[in-house]
Amino acid sequence: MAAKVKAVAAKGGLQFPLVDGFLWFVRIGLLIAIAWGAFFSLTSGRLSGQAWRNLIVFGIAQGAVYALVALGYTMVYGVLRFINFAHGEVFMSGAVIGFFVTDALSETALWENAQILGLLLALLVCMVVSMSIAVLLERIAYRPLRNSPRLIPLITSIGASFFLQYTFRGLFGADTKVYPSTSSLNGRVEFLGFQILNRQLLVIVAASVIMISLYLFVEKTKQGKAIRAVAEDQEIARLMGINVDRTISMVFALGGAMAGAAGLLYGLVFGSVNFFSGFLPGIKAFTSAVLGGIGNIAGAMLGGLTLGTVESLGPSLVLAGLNIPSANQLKDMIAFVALVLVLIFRPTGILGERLTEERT
Amino acid sequence: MSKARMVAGFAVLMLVLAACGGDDGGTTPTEGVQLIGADGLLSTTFVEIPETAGMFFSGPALAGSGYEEFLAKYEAKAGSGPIQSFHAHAYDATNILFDAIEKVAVENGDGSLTISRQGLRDALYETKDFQGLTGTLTCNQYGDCAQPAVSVYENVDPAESLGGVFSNVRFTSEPEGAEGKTGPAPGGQATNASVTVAAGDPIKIAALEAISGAVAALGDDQVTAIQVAIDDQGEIKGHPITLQSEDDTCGAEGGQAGAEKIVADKQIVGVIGTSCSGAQRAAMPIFERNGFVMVSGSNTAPDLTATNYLGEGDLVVGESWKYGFFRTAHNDEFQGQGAAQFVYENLGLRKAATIHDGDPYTQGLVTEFGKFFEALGGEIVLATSINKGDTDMRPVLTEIQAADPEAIYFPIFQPEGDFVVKQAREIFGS
Repeated sequence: MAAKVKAVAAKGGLQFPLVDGFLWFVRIGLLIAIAWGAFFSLTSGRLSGQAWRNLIVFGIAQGAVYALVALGYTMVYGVLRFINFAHGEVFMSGAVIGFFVTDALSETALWENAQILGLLLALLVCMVVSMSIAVLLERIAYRPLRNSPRLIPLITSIGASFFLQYTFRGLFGADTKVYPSTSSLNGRVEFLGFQILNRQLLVIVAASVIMISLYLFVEKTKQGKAIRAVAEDQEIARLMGINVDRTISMVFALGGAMAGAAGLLYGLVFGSVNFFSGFLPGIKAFTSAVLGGIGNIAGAMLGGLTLGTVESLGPSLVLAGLNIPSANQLKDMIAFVALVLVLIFRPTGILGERLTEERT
Repeated sequence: MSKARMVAGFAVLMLVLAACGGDDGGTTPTEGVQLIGADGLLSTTFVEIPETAGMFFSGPALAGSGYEEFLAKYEAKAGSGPIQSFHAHAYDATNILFDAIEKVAVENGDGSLTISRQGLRDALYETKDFQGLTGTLTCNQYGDCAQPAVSVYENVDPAESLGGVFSNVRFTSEPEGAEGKTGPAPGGQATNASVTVAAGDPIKIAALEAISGAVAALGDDQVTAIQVAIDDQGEIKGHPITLQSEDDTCGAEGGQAGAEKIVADKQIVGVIGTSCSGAQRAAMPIFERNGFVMVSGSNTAPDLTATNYLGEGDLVVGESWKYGFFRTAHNDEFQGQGAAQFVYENLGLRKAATIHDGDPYTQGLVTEFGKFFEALGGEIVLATSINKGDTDMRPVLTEIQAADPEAIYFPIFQPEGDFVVKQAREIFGS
């Protein structure tokens, strides 16, 4: 930075790098604001240590859901270089189908006696349904547009998003669907001084298992290698004998399955869903994917966790310390400001965009 | 900024937070905090949630008669019962409009009707002692037609439907001196416009309700009620009635877009709407300019008509008052005050926290509640808010828990209300 300034000054010109200077000003101003807010929040003792720990756990649980959905966005971008805006609705379909399955199961003896088994069954059904919707979406809406300018499939995905939302509304109604109570998920566990609700533990564990499985699948298996190849260069992959169409369908299927799982977990943690539930989590998940570095699987996971914790802690830690009233209403603002800042200061996201591997 | 530095910095921050503040011996959830909602949550899908048992709701006082028959007709039309609580008000709103049209429509020799828009406005302002489902309606010069009373209901066991809650009235406010209170004339420009309905043509009315998005049930219920009212009315002076339904999206965008669409059709005689006060503020200037009248069954924000019903001195014209706007729903000044009175006097609680969601309706309620609660001698320990669309209420509830209230008044909508209620049980214990 300093060298740049010197170099410009050395040119003899009066070009004061206003933009750079401004960005430095923003950087320092932000650090001061955050430190100030945090300092006052922590020292005022308004929230106890336990409360802070709870906030962290909430953030991680929320972040785990975002991460699962973000993986869908990031994989599709990595392979097709386009943002599938209908992915939030695939998530919603998992949540709504999850309601119907758990509601039906709650009438059976399975629910009372082996609830975990019932939940696993619901998870399976949700993943399958969301997977199908995602694959159908790709087949019907995106494949015919594979060679169009990139704006066209983007607009199509927005249309598909509305289509799915209102189809679900038409089929299942506009009212909020309340998940049946899951008594096996009540209670909390203690872990290193953190109090984690069983519900949140389920989300964190399930999300971690799914994400690790996906990572291993993409890195270690042959189909995973095919996916990475198609992401790198579609034409060459085709020449190598990889069935590109099938691989892309698989990517959508994987993303859809994970979004479906995320939907069910979301329903279990928050208890109610409606046809509109996919909208905001979809945007936040997309934000997480960009935050972590779009096209990068580990980035999506990290971005999700980061966004979740920033949302959870931000208002209480920074804004309340700066004495801004109704700080929690600005939670979304914090999340998106974080996105903007990361994009200004590190445009490729936290872990960097991994579009192509280094070509030697 | 290198990756490693950022991740390391983040991790350090987490550790500091986790370690700081000392231990307070784990979370002993606070003794049960009383949860109180408002009419936005008076909905079948909310009261059947088990965690809402024991909650109170401030809401409209249903003082009229004939509700049972109306309900039967409603269920025959919609196939299922109403979900939200303003369906009866929409029915009454439609009927006072029809009543006014009947008074004002002039039959011409050739079978057509002429309805003067100014005449319609005047007739509506003169509505007096109209017997509706929700009570006896008399419109004052500001457009408030409902009786100035609110009730507080209790959800004893999780009720199976809204009717179950409506039958548990715990309190009805009787604001002294509010009935018949007057104030300065609000003014307003007369219009020369009129509608001519040709012979054999129907009389067109429009509905501008929230029929999409998360609060679609609020609008859908009212549109069904309007249709039942149209069926019941049959004809006005030999002309049938048709309905054009527009979407107010419970916000300013929908309110404006819907209003523009409606005023473009000069044959529309009157409008029933909007669902949400935020949409009304965008729609009503357009209607007023074009001489249209609008009667709402669910706008409750005080500044849409008049304020200071409960204070000293005369009524004050509402900031967003517009000529030609009427409502059969209560003015939220009464609701905020009624709820505050109930919490302070009937429940005997002294410390309350409030949550709104940024919507003018919820903000108005929370402000009124706070004003009256503190005037009675209570203390608002924390007034905070969330966003529509938020799902994780735990951080804001953690903040509220730190402020240690005895009651939480959260006059918000579903699904945010669902999340608050369930997560509050986790944080505050049962």
